[in-house]
Amino acid sequence: MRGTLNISHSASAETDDNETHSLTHAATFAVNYVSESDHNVTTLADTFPLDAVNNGSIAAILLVNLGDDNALVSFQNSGFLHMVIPPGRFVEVHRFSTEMKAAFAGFAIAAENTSTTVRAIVAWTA
Amino acid sequence: MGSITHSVTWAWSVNGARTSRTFTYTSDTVTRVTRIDLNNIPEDDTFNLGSMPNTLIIACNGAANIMVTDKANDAPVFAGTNPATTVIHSDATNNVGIDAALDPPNVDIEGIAVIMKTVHASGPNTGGVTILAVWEAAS
Repeated sequence: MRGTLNISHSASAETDDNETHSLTHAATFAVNYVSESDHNVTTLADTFPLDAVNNGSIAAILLVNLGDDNALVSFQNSGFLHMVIPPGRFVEVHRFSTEMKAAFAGFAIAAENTSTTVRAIVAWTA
Repeated sequence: MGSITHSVTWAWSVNGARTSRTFTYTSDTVTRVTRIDLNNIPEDDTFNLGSMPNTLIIACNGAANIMVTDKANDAPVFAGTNPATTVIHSDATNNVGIDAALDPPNVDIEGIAVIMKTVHASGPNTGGVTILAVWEAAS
Protein backbone atom coordinates (compact mmCIF):
# COMPACT_ATOMS: atom_id res chain seq x y z
CA MET A 1 0.00 0.00 0.00
CA ARG A 2 1.34 3.39 -0.93
CA GLY A 3 -1.45 5.61 0.24
CA THR A 4 -5.08 6.16 1.05
CA LEU A 5 -8.08 7.74 -0.62
CA ASN A 6 -10.99 9.15 1.33
CA ILE A 7 -14.26 9.90 -0.45
CA SER A 8 -17.12 11.74 1.19
CA HIS A 9 -20.47 12.85 -0.13
CA SER A 10 -23.28 14.95 1.18
CA ALA A 11 -26.52 15.93 -0.46
CA SER A 12 -29.51 17.83 0.85
CA ALA A 13 -32.60 18.64 -1.15
CA GLU A 14 -35.96 20.18 -0.36
CA THR A 15 -39.05 21.27 -2.21
CA ASP A 16 -41.35 24.21 -1.57
CA ASP A 17 -43.74 22.06 0.42
CA ASN A 18 -41.01 21.20 2.91
CA GLU A 19 -40.29 17.73 1.60
CA THR A 20 -36.66 17.44 2.62
CA HIS A 21 -34.21 14.58 2.42
CA SER A 22 -30.49 14.24 2.83
CA LEU A 23 -27.88 11.58 2.31
CA THR A 24 -24.25 11.21 3.25
CA HIS A 25 -21.79 8.44 2.66
CA ALA A 26 -18.07 7.95 2.90
CA ALA A 27 -15.48 5.41 1.84
CA THR A 28 -11.79 4.83 2.44
CA PHE A 29 -9.54 2.85 0.11
CA ALA A 30 -5.93 1.76 0.14
CA VAL A 31 -4.50 3.03 -3.14
CA ASN A 32 -1.19 3.05 -4.89
CA TYR A 33 -1.94 5.46 -7.71
CA VAL A 34 -4.30 8.36 -8.34
CA SER A 35 -4.42 10.23 -11.65
CA GLU A 36 -6.08 13.53 -12.44
CA SER A 37 -6.44 14.90 -15.96
CA ASP A 38 -8.57 17.33 -17.95
CA HIS A 39 -9.91 16.30 -21.35
CA ASN A 40 -11.01 18.94 -23.86
CA VAL A 41 -13.43 17.46 -26.36
CA THR A 42 -15.62 18.50 -29.28
CA THR A 43 -18.58 16.73 -30.83
CA LEU A 44 -16.14 14.26 -32.34
CA ALA A 45 -15.62 11.67 -29.63
CA ASP A 46 -12.11 11.25 -28.29
CA THR A 47 -10.94 8.19 -26.47
CA PHE A 48 -8.76 8.32 -23.41
CA PRO A 49 -7.23 4.98 -22.52
CA LEU A 50 -6.04 4.60 -18.97
CA ASP A 51 -2.57 3.55 -17.99
CA ALA A 52 -2.56 -0.07 -16.94
CA VAL A 53 -1.37 0.63 -13.42
CA ASN A 54 -2.25 -2.51 -11.52
CA ASN A 55 -4.56 -3.46 -14.32
CA GLY A 56 -7.83 -4.78 -13.02
CA SER A 57 -7.67 -2.87 -9.76
CA ILE A 58 -9.64 0.25 -10.50
CA ALA A 59 -11.03 1.52 -7.21
CA ALA A 60 -12.98 4.65 -8.04
CA ILE A 61 -13.70 7.13 -10.81
CA LEU A 62 -14.90 10.71 -10.56
CA LEU A 63 -15.86 12.64 -13.70
CA VAL A 64 -16.66 16.35 -13.55
CA ASN A 65 -18.01 18.42 -16.43
CA LEU A 66 -16.13 21.73 -16.19
CA GLY A 67 -17.43 23.14 -19.48
CA ASP A 68 -20.65 24.58 -20.86
CA ASP A 69 -22.01 21.71 -22.94
CA ASN A 70 -23.35 18.30 -22.04
CA ALA A 71 -20.61 15.67 -21.87
CA LEU A 72 -21.34 12.25 -23.31
CA VAL A 73 -19.24 9.62 -21.60
CA SER A 74 -18.82 5.93 -22.23
CA PHE A 75 -16.80 3.57 -20.07
CA GLN A 76 -15.00 1.52 -22.71
CA ASN A 77 -15.32 -2.25 -22.71
CA SER A 78 -17.68 -2.13 -19.75
CA GLY A 79 -20.71 -3.07 -21.84
CA PHE A 80 -22.64 -0.22 -20.32
CA LEU A 81 -22.22 2.82 -18.08
CA HIS A 82 -22.88 5.30 -20.82
CA MET A 83 -23.91 8.60 -19.33
CA VAL A 84 -24.67 12.25 -19.91
CA ILE A 85 -23.05 14.74 -17.55
CA PRO A 86 -24.60 18.22 -17.74
CA PRO A 87 -22.38 21.27 -17.15
CA GLY A 88 -21.32 21.72 -13.55
CA ARG A 89 -22.24 18.20 -12.54
CA PHE A 90 -20.25 15.15 -11.65
CA VAL A 91 -20.57 11.40 -11.70
CA GLU A 92 -18.77 9.00 -9.43
CA VAL A 93 -18.64 5.25 -9.23
CA HIS A 94 -16.56 3.27 -6.79
CA ARG A 95 -16.12 -0.40 -5.90
CA PHE A 96 -16.58 -1.95 -9.32
CA SER A 97 -17.30 -5.60 -9.89
CA THR A 98 -14.44 -7.93 -10.75
CA GLU A 99 -15.78 -8.28 -14.27
CA MET A 100 -15.94 -4.56 -14.74
CA LYS A 101 -12.42 -4.00 -13.48
CA ALA A 102 -11.00 -6.65 -15.76
CA ALA A 103 -12.65 -5.23 -18.86
CA PHE A 104 -12.40 -1.50 -18.30
CA ALA A 105 -9.98 0.21 -20.67
CA GLY A 106 -10.68 3.92 -20.43
CA PHE A 107 -13.18 6.54 -21.47
CA ALA A 108 -14.73 7.83 -24.65
CA ILE A 109 -15.89 11.42 -24.25
CA ALA A 110 -17.67 13.84 -26.58
CA ALA A 111 -19.53 17.12 -26.30
CA GLU A 112 -23.19 16.94 -27.27
CA ASN A 113 -23.39 20.24 -29.19
CA THR A 114 -20.15 22.26 -29.18
CA SER A 115 -17.26 21.52 -26.84
CA THR A 116 -16.55 20.95 -23.18
CA THR A 117 -13.92 19.87 -20.69
CA VAL A 118 -14.18 16.81 -18.48
CA ARG A 119 -11.92 16.28 -15.49
CA ALA A 120 -11.27 12.64 -14.71
CA ILE A 121 -9.86 11.48 -11.39
CA VAL A 122 -9.12 7.78 -11.22
CA ALA A 123 -7.79 5.75 -8.30
CA TRP A 124 -6.26 2.28 -8.35
CA THR A 125 -6.22 0.04 -5.31
CA ALA A 126 -3.04 -1.26 -3.73
CA MET B 1 -39.03 25.78 -6.23
CA GLY B 2 -36.83 23.93 -3.80
CA SER B 3 -33.11 23.47 -3.81
CA ILE B 4 -30.37 20.87 -3.77
CA THR B 5 -26.78 21.02 -2.63
CA HIS B 6 -24.57 18.07 -3.37
CA SER B 7 -20.85 17.95 -2.75
CA VAL B 8 -18.16 15.33 -3.15
CA THR B 9 -14.67 15.47 -1.69
CA TRP B 10 -11.76 13.26 -2.66
CA ALA B 11 -8.71 13.47 -0.42
CA TRP B 12 -5.77 11.21 -1.17
CA SER B 13 -2.23 10.74 -0.03
CA VAL B 14 0.19 8.68 -2.09
CA ASN B 15 3.84 8.48 -1.09
CA GLY B 16 3.30 11.35 1.32
CA ALA B 17 1.91 13.76 -1.26
CA ARG B 18 -1.49 14.97 -0.08
CA THR B 19 -4.15 16.25 -2.46
CA SER B 20 -7.77 17.21 -1.97
CA ARG B 21 -10.52 18.06 -4.42
CA THR B 22 -14.07 19.18 -3.68
CA PHE B 23 -16.83 19.67 -6.22
CA THR B 24 -20.24 21.09 -5.39
CA TYR B 25 -23.46 21.24 -7.36
CA THR B 26 -26.36 23.49 -6.34
CA SER B 27 -29.72 24.17 -7.93
CA ASP B 28 -32.83 26.14 -6.97
CA THR B 29 -35.21 24.32 -9.28
CA VAL B 30 -36.02 21.20 -7.27
CA THR B 31 -39.62 20.05 -7.64
CA ARG B 32 -39.56 16.63 -5.99
CA VAL B 33 -37.32 14.65 -3.66
CA THR B 34 -37.54 11.00 -2.69
CA ARG B 35 -35.38 8.98 -0.33
CA ILE B 36 -35.58 5.18 -0.29
CA ASP B 37 -33.97 3.17 2.49
CA LEU B 38 -33.56 -0.56 2.03
CA ASN B 39 -32.23 -3.14 4.42
CA ASN B 40 -31.85 -6.87 4.08
CA ILE B 41 -33.97 -7.30 1.01
CA PRO B 42 -33.71 -10.98 0.13
CA GLU B 43 -32.88 -10.84 -3.53
CA ASP B 44 -34.30 -8.00 -5.51
CA ASP B 45 -36.92 -5.33 -5.41
CA THR B 46 -38.28 -2.71 -7.75
CA PHE B 47 -39.37 0.87 -7.22
CA ASN B 48 -41.61 2.92 -9.42
CA LEU B 49 -40.38 6.49 -9.36
CA GLY B 50 -42.98 7.71 -11.85
CA SER B 51 -40.39 9.48 -13.97
CA MET B 52 -36.63 9.54 -14.11
CA PRO B 53 -34.97 11.93 -11.65
CA ASN B 54 -32.27 14.39 -12.65
CA THR B 55 -30.01 13.32 -9.83
CA LEU B 56 -29.70 9.84 -8.43
CA ILE B 57 -27.41 9.14 -5.50
CA ILE B 58 -26.98 5.59 -4.29
CA ALA B 59 -25.07 4.57 -1.19
CA CYS B 60 -24.60 0.93 -0.23
CA ASN B 61 -23.01 -0.48 2.86
CA GLY B 62 -23.05 -4.14 3.65
CA ALA B 63 -22.27 -7.61 2.41
CA ALA B 64 -24.05 -7.45 -0.89
CA ASN B 65 -23.73 -7.02 -4.58
CA ILE B 66 -26.09 -4.45 -5.97
CA MET B 67 -27.17 -3.64 -9.47
CA VAL B 68 -29.36 -0.70 -10.35
CA THR B 69 -31.33 -1.23 -13.48
CA ASP B 70 -34.13 0.09 -15.57
CA LYS B 71 -37.20 -1.44 -14.00
CA ALA B 72 -39.04 -1.96 -17.25
CA ASN B 73 -36.23 -3.27 -19.44
CA ASP B 74 -33.76 -4.74 -16.97
CA ALA B 75 -31.06 -2.50 -18.40
CA PRO B 76 -28.67 -0.48 -16.29
CA VAL B 77 -29.79 2.95 -15.21
CA PHE B 78 -26.96 4.48 -17.15
CA ALA B 79 -28.68 3.93 -20.48
CA GLY B 80 -26.49 1.15 -21.75
CA THR B 81 -27.40 -1.47 -24.28
CA ASN B 82 -26.08 -4.53 -22.52
CA PRO B 83 -27.54 -5.39 -19.12
CA ALA B 84 -24.42 -7.43 -18.37
CA THR B 85 -23.70 -8.34 -14.78
CA THR B 86 -23.42 -6.62 -11.47
CA VAL B 87 -22.20 -3.08 -11.73
CA ILE B 88 -20.77 -2.59 -8.31
CA HIS B 89 -19.93 -4.65 -5.31
CA SER B 90 -19.82 -3.90 -1.65
CA ASP B 91 -18.56 -5.93 1.26
CA ALA B 92 -18.90 -5.66 4.97
CA THR B 93 -16.17 -3.08 5.36
CA ASN B 94 -16.65 -0.81 2.37
CA ASN B 95 -19.31 1.61 1.38
CA VAL B 96 -20.15 1.88 -2.23
CA GLY B 97 -21.67 4.73 -4.14
CA ILE B 98 -22.90 5.90 -7.47
CA ASP B 99 -23.69 9.53 -7.98
CA ALA B 100 -25.17 10.46 -11.26
CA ALA B 101 -26.50 13.62 -12.74
CA LEU B 102 -28.91 12.09 -15.17
CA ASP B 103 -30.40 13.53 -18.30
CA PRO B 104 -34.05 12.44 -18.46
CA PRO B 105 -34.44 12.66 -22.25
CA ASN B 106 -31.67 10.13 -22.60
CA VAL B 107 -32.72 7.89 -19.74
CA ASP B 108 -36.33 7.15 -20.52
CA ILE B 109 -37.32 4.96 -17.62
CA GLU B 110 -39.97 5.19 -14.97
CA GLY B 111 -38.42 3.30 -12.14
CA ILE B 112 -35.46 1.38 -10.92
CA ALA B 113 -34.72 -2.09 -9.66
CA VAL B 114 -32.14 -2.66 -6.97
CA ILE B 115 -30.84 -6.19 -6.96
CA MET B 116 -28.92 -7.49 -3.99
CA LYS B 117 -27.19 -10.84 -3.99
CA THR B 118 -25.56 -12.51 -1.04
CA VAL B 119 -21.80 -12.68 -1.02
CA HIS B 120 -21.97 -15.98 0.82
CA ALA B 121 -24.72 -18.21 -0.46
CA SER B 122 -25.44 -19.73 2.93
CA GLY B 123 -25.33 -16.51 4.89
CA PRO B 124 -27.78 -13.70 5.39
CA ASN B 125 -27.83 -10.68 3.16
CA THR B 126 -26.86 -7.85 5.45
CA GLY B 127 -26.63 -5.27 2.73
CA GLY B 128 -28.31 -1.93 2.93
CA VAL B 129 -28.92 0.63 0.23
CA THR B 130 -30.06 4.23 0.41
CA ILE B 131 -31.23 6.04 -2.69
CA LEU B 132 -31.82 9.76 -2.99
CA ALA B 133 -33.67 10.84 -6.12
CA VAL B 134 -34.13 14.50 -7.02
CA TRP B 135 -36.24 15.98 -9.82
CA GLU B 136 -35.62 19.49 -11.12
CA ALA B 137 -37.59 21.81 -13.35
CA ALA B 138 -36.07 22.76 -16.67
CA SER B 139 -33.97 25.90 -16.32
